Amino acid sequence: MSIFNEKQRRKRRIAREAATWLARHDSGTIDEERFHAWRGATPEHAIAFARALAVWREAQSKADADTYHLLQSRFTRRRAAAAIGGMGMAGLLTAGAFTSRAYAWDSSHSGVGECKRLILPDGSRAMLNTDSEMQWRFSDDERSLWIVRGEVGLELVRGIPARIHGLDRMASLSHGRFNVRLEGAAMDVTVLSGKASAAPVSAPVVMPGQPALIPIVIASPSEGLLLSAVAPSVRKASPQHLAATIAWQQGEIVFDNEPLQTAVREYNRYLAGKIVIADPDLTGIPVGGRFTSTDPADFLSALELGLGVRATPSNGGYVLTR
Amino acid sequence: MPVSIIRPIDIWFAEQIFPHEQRFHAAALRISGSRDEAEELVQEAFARLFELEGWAAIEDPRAYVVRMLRHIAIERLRRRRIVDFRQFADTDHLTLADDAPDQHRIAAGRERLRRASDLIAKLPERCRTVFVRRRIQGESSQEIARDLGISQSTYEKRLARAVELLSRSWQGDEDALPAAAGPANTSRRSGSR
Repeated sequence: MSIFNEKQRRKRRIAREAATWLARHDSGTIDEERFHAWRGATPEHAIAFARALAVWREAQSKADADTYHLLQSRFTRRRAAAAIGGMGMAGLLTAGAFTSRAYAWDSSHSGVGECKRLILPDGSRAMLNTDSEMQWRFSDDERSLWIVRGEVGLELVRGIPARIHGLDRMASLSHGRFNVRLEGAAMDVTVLSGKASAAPVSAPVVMPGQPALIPIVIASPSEGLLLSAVAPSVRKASPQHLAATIAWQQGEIVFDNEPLQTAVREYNRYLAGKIVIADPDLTGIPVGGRFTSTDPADFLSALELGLGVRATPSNGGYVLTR
Repeated sequence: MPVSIIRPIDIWFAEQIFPHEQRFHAAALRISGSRDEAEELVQEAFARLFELEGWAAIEDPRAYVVRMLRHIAIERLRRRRIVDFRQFADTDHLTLADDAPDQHRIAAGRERLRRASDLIAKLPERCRTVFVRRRIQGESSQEIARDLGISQSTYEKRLARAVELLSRSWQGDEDALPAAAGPANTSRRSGSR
């Protein structure tokens, strides 16, 4: 009995410590060095802290379900992309800067629903998501990548900074892991590890030893760099967002209380036969879950089971109704 | 919340592992037959997962953990002198038995949300107020502390207490957030073992 009590007490103490670290972290009063020492002391501490984080995040998903439309974080990217969709002209004007790329580029593309892995000349890896195209040129003094369309995951080995172009945008990447997606008139670079930096395309070339005239924007791990017709911006990527962003690399698609309309649009990227929402009342229903990206059967049956939405096959695709 | 001290593996755990913690305990209990040992099995599996380099590539983390539980249990059984073969036989069915189809995720997600709200509702009032205002309503800590007329440190203690109680009740600690007294709860097992 006393052994049991001893164990129980220990468990509670660790749960309390983990919760305290999390509360301090959230309040910005955490002593990081002491935290790392605590977490590294025993696996139990690391587990307890991750559990506290899980509890914390679970409450957030409840908050999202309550007021998902009021919370901006998850939808910032799409909102931003929609907002600048009308600014294509501004983008076109600066597009000339890179038209000299038309020599010695290798390229690869993926079809709808296809996912393709590539090894780049320096040993870096790339993965093309559905309906994507990338071109690249590597030499001793150049690592250039051009996303023509779609979405690419990159795992860059050490070396000179890689320049990644998309539309008329350009970012510079260190070694590390990145997810790069073109959406509307924007290129969205999510940093999983390493650094991504950007200067406006029209910025003068920065010469070594001279200060840049326009401040360079830098994104670190767990941040996203959005390059649009307006000035490049960095935003924190929430853990949910990060996980959902790279889910496709496992052949999955993750919705975390997204409006049905958004979820369907995402799904349609992977499908030759598209899903259409026939009933406008359905568009705002929040949906969540993890599904196989190329096969909507589970997604559709989840909609039916969970929300009473019917999917009727039509023209090779599906129509959703009440 | 800044994410600096939170590693990708923590997020992965929070997202892929802990939502199934009770299921892991149930599976471990089926293998080991003792509550204490079941808890050790789960703890050991989690500890090994934290050490695992390729965690990000695990396709179905839930099934993976159940397999781990089985392997760890078998390792332990082998170290014993007398082996109860029924336990081996039982473990063979575990992976299958535990594989609920994924299409129930939406319904399961709703269930989880309901569970989360239920647990939050059971928090002691002071902790709940702080937790809900910070986490659900998204107010800043300074705002909440000022409004309640409490110090930053008291605020942090209440917030931490809320997270602690929720964590413990996730872990199956029935004393953490006991059900409110009432006729509906008289049939509930009360912490005895």
